[in-house]
Amino acid sequence: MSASSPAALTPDQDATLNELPLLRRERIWGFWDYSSVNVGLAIATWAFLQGGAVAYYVGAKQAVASIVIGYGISVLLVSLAPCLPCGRYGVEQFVSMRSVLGERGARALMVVMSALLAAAWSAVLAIMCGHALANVANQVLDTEISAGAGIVSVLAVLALGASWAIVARGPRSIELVNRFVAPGLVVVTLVMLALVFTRTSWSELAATPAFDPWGDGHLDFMLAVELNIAGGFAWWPNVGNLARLTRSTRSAFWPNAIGLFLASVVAAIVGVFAALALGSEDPTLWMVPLGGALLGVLALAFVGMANITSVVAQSYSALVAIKGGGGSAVRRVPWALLAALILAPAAVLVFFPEAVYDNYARFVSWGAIVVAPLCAVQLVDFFVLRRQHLDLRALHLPHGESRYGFLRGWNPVAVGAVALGALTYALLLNPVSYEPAGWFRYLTASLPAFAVAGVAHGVGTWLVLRRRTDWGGYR
Amino acid sequence: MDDVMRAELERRLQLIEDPAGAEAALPPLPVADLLAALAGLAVLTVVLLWWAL
Repeated sequence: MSASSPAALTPDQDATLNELPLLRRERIWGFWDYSSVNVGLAIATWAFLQGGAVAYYVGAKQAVASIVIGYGISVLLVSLAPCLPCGRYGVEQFVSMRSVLGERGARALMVVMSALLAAAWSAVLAIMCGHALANVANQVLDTEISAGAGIVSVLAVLALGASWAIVARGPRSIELVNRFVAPGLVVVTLVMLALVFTRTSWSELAATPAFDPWGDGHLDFMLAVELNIAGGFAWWPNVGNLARLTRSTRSAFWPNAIGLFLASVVAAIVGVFAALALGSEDPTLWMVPLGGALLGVLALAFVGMANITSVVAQSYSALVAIKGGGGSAVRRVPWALLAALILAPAAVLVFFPEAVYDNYARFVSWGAIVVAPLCAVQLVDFFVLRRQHLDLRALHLPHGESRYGFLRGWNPVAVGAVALGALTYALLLNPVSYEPAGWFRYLTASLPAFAVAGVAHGVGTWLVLRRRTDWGGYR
Repeated sequence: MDDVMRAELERRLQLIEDPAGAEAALPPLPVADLLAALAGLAVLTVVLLWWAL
């Protein structure tokens, strides 16, 4: 369950299950361990969904470029913050955010991220697992289960139940599961890529038009880039608490290039190619036409089950965050019960499969509105304003006693900077209709939101917060 | 935070705050690593834009 002699530790002492800072000897993941966890997290069917969504705007060639560039930018930024502060100090991600937003600000953020985003993503993954298993049943048992059928929701609940059984055992079980699942996912992805090219040639694929472009080539390319930048930023709530378990800062940084970047990029590219070749954006409908009955069903079952590893990894991150920020009452709740509670909202959402599943691009966009500015504010705060030094003791003190107390536990400058960044995003790309404004075609939406929030936080801190020591300890 | 938890936190803070101790915070990421990542991304971006557009 934890790094060192689990039987000897109480839940309060086992820092892999709570918000206490980890000691070096408790860090359980080296470079390849964290890489395999990262690959397991990245090659869930959400990477294939991402590819299917990109196929709406651009053809194969521009899709490859937009995926590599978009993921490259945002995964690099996410690898810097939150991975490096959490990896360097072994500190829980939302505890580290107390130095940025204040104790209460970080707690509010944790609740929003853990309750809403984790629930939404877990639901998407579980529904996809349900879709995949229903398609397996349709092939093997000759059933006719539709995408919106009640049995899909029941299968999704079962997937959430299996996720709970793994996450309830702690991070060691995540590592063990991913040691088998991650290589299998890589094989399935590469086999799918090979099978796509048994059906079509590269020149045919490159000539296949996008599903539903705006008709302005440059704008469509920028929309695809934006979708992929937002896709990379979507890792922000999860990766800090995973990087916290690594044994070196290099191990906290570089595996993101293998897992979150390379694995996601390959899976998303396979997703675009399969979507364009088969004329469908739903990954669970690709496997059987590509691989035939036997291989297709095997791949479908494996990829469906692999969604569970992604639910597990992000649920673990959310659990550690809630244990840390939820106060003493939450800390007394047993780990397994808390795991069940955090998966419960997703278990409700899976009963509305079409509403959840069909809004993938909007989920990604809604996440990026908040996460791109948050990543900027944390990055500027840690690397520029604090020169990579955190006062670990102050992070764990109540706001009334801590140099990170700010104003009653809130940092108004950081909150204002995040709000300005989010406003910038919404002005450039309507998060409801996904309709871009004029400047979007030159700037995207996530990158200006990132830049505005980062500059606003840096300048605001310099002008306001550096006046007093207890306003964040910047002086 | 109860007394057991507070005591455990204090024990950990003392170990991590000792800069010469075996449990001190990890060193920062070498700047060369960051520059290598930035350079790799820049080159990849330029090559892909040239190829795809």
